[in-house]
Amino acid sequence: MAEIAEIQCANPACKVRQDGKCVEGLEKDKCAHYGKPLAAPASPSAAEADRHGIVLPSGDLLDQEEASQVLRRGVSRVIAVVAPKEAGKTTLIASVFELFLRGPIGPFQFCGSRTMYAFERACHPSRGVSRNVRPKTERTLLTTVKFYHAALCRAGGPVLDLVVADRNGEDYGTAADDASAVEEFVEISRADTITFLIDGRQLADPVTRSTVGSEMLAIVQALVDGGAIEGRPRVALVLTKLDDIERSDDSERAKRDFVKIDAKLRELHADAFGEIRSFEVAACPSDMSLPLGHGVADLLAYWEETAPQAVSQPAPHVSSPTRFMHRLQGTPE
Amino acid sequence: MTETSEGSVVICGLPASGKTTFLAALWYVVFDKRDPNALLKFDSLIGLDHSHLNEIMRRWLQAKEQIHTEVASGKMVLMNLKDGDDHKIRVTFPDLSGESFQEMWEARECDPKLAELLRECDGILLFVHADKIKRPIGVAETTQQATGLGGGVPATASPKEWHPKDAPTAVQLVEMLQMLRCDALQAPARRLAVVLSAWDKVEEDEPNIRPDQYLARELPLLDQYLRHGVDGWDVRVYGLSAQGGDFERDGVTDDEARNDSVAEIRALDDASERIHLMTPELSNDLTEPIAWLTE
Repeated sequence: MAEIAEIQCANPACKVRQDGKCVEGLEKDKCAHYGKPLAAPASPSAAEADRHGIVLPSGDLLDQEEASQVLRRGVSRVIAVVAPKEAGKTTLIASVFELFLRGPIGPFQFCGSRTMYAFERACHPSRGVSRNVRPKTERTLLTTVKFYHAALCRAGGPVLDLVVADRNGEDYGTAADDASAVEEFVEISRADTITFLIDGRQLADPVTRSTVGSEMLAIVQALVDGGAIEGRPRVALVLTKLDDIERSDDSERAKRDFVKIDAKLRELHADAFGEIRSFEVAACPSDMSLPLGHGVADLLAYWEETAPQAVSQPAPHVSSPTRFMHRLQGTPE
Repeated sequence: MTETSEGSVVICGLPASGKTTFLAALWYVVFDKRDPNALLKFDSLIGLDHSHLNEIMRRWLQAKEQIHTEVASGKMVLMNLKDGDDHKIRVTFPDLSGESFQEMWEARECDPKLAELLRECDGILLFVHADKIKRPIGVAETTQQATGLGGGVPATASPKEWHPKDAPTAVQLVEMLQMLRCDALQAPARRLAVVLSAWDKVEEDEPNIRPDQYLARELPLLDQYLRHGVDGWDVRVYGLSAQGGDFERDGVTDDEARNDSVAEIRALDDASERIHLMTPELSNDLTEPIAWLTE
């Protein structure tokens, strides 16, 4: 026990002190965080003790209550992005902001964001200033679900608040083994569109290609069995890292595999969802063979579309303020 | 003559965005020259010795780059101007260094004195250095550029940790403007004059581009936010060359292009001729954006 008590890890999401397991699934001598003191989260709150001025909004990820406040102010969409770890969740979400930095995305104009600080932090590993050799996005290290926010509009149209949920990929991976875990996934039951990611890099890899689809379908099954899916939300099935597939020796096979996963999802779960549509995306390509954010504009347009009326007990999009909060906070209405 | 009302303009901008040069040129136009054609006239200076402004004006007149003076390192400059109807207009430079504005993005806090000014102002004059805009550049672009130059990115390069100061210019500016509307500040100003300083650098390459076109191309996030955002800004975009070209830099004597520019500027009969304000029509009245903000 004495040894356990002395174990330390710089990763705040890792529970190696409690269960002896590396959250990243690595051998302890291979993990860059193991054996180091707990790192302070890269958050503006770290400097709060030294503040002498007027405190301004943090610009960091929103918690459930803050997200509820945004949802109350007008037309909005809640997007859940679901995938095991390292499938490109945060890269995809951050690419929306990265594209707006370069101009409108298709018909969409940027109107503002309450999480610009968080977006910037998420974009950093994919920027030249990071000195990374290939684009990366920091792995999501959250202890609970958090939300990115971007306000956008079509020219002359109303402003739409897009609230996109981000949580540890491990949480979704765990659900495949224990469906009761989905009870905590408030973003799933509240989502207008659930976006499932299929990791293109793994699909192009001969070793992992056979398990990518089954792992994702197991997560979907857990969400359905655990009762997280409410009101027949829409589904975007997204093939990420398309540039890795295009560079692979057998890109056609990988694309055929994706079509099979799409077909299986429809075969097993079409009844649970209002609509299922597939997309191919390269949010942050490693080279210039595909443009930055390839396919993101189409996905954004899908996220914007109004959800169809649910068959049973539809969840109205705009109702009482308390309802939004309760739904995001997971408390009974 | 009686004072009928008072307007207030706050000068904002990140570090090295052209605020000090603007102040030097403005001081020359309204105080030293007492330009009769300027829309606004000098009334009074509050809380600061004239010597500081005279010093930065002297360097401006001699076509020498500004150095970090006491003024530039944090002292507030407050100047009263008046329009043709004797309406008093208070122009405040809360922080010429620009560090307070950078702190709003990096440390997420606002100096209480700056906050007080922002809560009372009618208009914001926002400076952006047109030739020093930090753009987002992706890893793939950087790698391609390095490969094109025959260098390549060394595989052993150690990754750099994120720091908010690395954020592109547009991100910092949009966030600053969003913060003016937050509950903690609640700035009432509706009018916003965006001044693209060092406009002569832009005109060298693109003599016919308008300031608003340049803003849309170089700072698209800011442009989208200003056009479509929910914060309700009434915006005008100006291009300003308050120097007329490169100034002499202390210790640099062997830069021929710079020396030619300095000689050309010094040869002008009237120092105000070096001021070019694109509204988008050409003007040399520096007070015009301030007059618009408070009309």
